[in-house]
Amino acid sequence: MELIKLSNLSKTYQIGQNEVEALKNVDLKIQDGEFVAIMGPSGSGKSTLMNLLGCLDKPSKGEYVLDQNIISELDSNKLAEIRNKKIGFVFQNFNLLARTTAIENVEIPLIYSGLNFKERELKAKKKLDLVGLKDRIDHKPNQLSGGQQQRVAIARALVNEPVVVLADEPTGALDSKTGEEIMSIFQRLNKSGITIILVTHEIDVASHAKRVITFKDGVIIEDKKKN
Amino acid sequence: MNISLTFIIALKALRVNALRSVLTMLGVIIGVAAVIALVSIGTGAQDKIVGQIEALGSNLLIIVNASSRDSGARMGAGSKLSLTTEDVDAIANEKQLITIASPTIHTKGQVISGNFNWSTDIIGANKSFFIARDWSIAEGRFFNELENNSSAKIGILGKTVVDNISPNNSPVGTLIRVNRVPIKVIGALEPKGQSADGKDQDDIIIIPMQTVQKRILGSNKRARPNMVHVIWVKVINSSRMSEAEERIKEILRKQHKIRPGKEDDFKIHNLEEIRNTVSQSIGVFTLLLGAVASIALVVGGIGIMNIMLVSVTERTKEIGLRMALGAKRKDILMQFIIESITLSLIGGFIGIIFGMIVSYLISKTAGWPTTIDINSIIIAFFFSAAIGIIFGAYPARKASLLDPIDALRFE
Repeated sequence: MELIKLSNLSKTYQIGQNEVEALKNVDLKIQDGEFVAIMGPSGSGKSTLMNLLGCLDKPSKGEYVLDQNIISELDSNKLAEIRNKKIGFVFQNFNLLARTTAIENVEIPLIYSGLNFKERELKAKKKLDLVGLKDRIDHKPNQLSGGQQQRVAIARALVNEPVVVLADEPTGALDSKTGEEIMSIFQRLNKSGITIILVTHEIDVASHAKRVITFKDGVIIEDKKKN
Repeated sequence: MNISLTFIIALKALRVNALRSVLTMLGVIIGVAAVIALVSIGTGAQDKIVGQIEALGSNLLIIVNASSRDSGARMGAGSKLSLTTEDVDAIANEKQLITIASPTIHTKGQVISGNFNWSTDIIGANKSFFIARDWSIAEGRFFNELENNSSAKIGILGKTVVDNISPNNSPVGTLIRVNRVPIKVIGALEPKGQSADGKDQDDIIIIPMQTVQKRILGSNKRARPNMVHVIWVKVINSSRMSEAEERIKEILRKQHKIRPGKEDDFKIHNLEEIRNTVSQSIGVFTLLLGAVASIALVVGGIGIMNIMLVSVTERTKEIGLRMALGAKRKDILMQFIIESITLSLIGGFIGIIFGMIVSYLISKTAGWPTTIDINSIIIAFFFSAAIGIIFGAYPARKASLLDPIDALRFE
């Protein structure tokens, strides 16, 4: 099933007097269940693409369809709903709320879906269990290691059963061993059927993905699928 | 996302910076406490003075003799005795307006009982006087018409006189002398306290009017048998006070044959009018106190706004994250508004308690009467909630309009 479809997508930024075209007429299709790595040097447009895919930004031109929703036409409230229900974010620097326990961090998306306390707790516990943090649910971020914090963030990304997980340099702030652990979690999740799109500039990290798309100057220069 | 949850998030955020939150609240606490305490002083003063005026009797018009003119020199109130018992009867005839018209005559005298003696006001009155003044008896009885008409040598004592001539035992039944006339005490009055002008209303002995006329003033050549010093008029209800005043004026001018254009030879004090005037002027004073105190409240509100702006900046990244995780703009708006309302409401609540304590201490130490009006508590509460909304709105709006991408990137 076609999960994501970008048609002729462009994004232009106005920086002072100059117009900078971060993405130029990108066409891209991603199927349900894929594990895609997006690579490219800085300034290649991969972050812009992630922001667009994550519904944090709107394209200047072209169309973006996510799970049959035409994202490019939605207003900010609808976009918030899409982000809440269909997308799970994993960030480079984890972005957990300080002084807030792991389970409370995981519950945040559920708060905005309007679930009650019991449902939230149940779902959050399940996802923390999935990432192997069952006995750390009441720990605050400063009581957790980097790898553990990123696993809390993954649990948070998964808690609302999104159609796609977007990971922006998820191993960037971790040592290589912990990075491997995190990548193996992503692989396991992908095997269970979750679509994952990850941005990285490390070939090692990208090698875990089944499809590698390389950007340069706002256009796709390579789209390679592993058997 | 519901309000109670937003409230919990707000409380958590405030607890993280507990000291800062308390200091921010302090502005509202002081403001609300000042409003409550100062308004309680104003209201207390109002209650006390209105109470004193009401102690004279309700729906009361007091008619006194006016000043006389002697070759252009005015002689002062009561110097010309123009009121008579016939006037009283004429006023009492206005039954659709007036329930009681009771005359009194006043003099001073020495009261002697055994080894004690005391100089006091002697009032010659009818039985209806007690009704007109809403004055009840503490012990013994009132006198009746028969005793009045027969010039019975009986009297009723005010509290102050009782305290001074019979401090240890009940005066009722004892025989005392008033200006050398033997008088039997038949009752003692309930205390009325000070009047609005500071006069002790209980320093009094009340004797039947005929007795005062004939036996106590009898030797005085100025005393005419039908003379009256004061007429106490009780009007049917408070809304008809002015109407009654006008009517009495007409009656008395006719009785006294005063030609149009000439001055009245009597004066009518309308207690209701005095009460309203005093009450209004203290009300303005109270309002002024409240307004001055509100300035502190507004300053407290600015403190809240200041801290909320700092908080929004500090938590830009959190705002971006919440947006990425599905928070709508209005969720962020609500989060910060509720946070500032929580600050101001907790501050308001503590301020109310603090204000009540201050008000209590003022009444204890300075001896001022204070009255805490439930209205001022309700107003202070809603005012502090409004402060939270008004001064939280701008920072909250600022937070809700952040761009999620920029906010997430903020360090």
